[in-house]
Amino acid sequence: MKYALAVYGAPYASESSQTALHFAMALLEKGHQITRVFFYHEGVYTANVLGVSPQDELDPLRPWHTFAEAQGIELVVCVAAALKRGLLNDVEAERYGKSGSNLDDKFEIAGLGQFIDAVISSDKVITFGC
Amino acid sequence: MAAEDLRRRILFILTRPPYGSSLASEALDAALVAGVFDQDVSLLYMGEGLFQLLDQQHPELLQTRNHAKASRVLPEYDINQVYVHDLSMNSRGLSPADFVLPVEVLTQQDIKNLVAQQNAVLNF
Amino acid sequence: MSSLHLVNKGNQSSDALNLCRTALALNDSVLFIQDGCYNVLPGELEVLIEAFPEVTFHVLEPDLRARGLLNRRHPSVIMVDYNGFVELTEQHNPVLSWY
Repeated sequence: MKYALAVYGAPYASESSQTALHFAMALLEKGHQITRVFFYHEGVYTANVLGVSPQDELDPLRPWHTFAEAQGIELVVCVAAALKRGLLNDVEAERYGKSGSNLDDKFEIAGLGQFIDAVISSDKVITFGC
Repeated sequence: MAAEDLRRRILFILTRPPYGSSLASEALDAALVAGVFDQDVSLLYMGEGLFQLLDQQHPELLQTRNHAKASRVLPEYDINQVYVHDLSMNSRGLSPADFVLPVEVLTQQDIKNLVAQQNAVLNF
Repeated sequence: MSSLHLVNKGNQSSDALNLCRTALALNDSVLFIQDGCYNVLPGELEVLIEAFPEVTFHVLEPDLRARGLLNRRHPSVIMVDYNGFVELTEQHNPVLSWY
């Protein structure tokens, strides 16, 4: 079956993105497909490359990056939610004259249309709240 | 694929008040986009979510979008299935007259029936 | 098809469970995850089971274990791993998320 996943919680403020990742891995192991993972509300913070996590703890971003790379999963961060919270890729940083960008390159930045499109084209929609 | 197959029944369940966090605002934006995509959208306000619809909101000092005013555009996106939970409304001493949109008041059983009809539910 | 309700907060700290109860229908399933695990303490879950005898209550084992609740859970709650979590989503639609 095709699943759309949404993540609303930020790392450390919530377990949202960790639960979502473990779930996503289990989905693929069972032979399901993931249409897209859409990061909304505070979930956008998951894509921040500038985080330095304690050595003995799991990095909130790295496993997503590896997972997306290995499995070809689409990770999308909502543009409006990201911009206002200071998550920018190079294009947006340039556009808004910001000193740097911090969005992991495995995450695409896109509008809510991508979220609704995923909801429409999937059999199941699972949201991981904050 | 027939056009009907692309028209999903999507229910947004709104349980948070406006302004205290951006969740209410982000939920509304998502619902409007679902309307743009011509989906069969319903909104159900429960708990403190009902406060999103209160009239007389004046967030000028917060310099943020007036949530009630923003919610009023839902019908322009063809979203007319707007529901409130009866107990959430009554327990707060509210009535449909307090809201900026026409609402249908649902009982607990109505809500269970509504949920069962959906292709997807998005809780905010 | 019956619904699956994910609940990620304890009853004492949030109205998530209370709102979930409003929408909880006959033959639905509930999966407690994250801080929602605190709802499977025997005293807490007993109240739910009495109110909803036809609903099946599950808890995500890794989250339960993390919180030291393995030996403090109601005997009727069904523990699932992530594989079981996926199975629950296969068997129910829609999947609601109360937080």
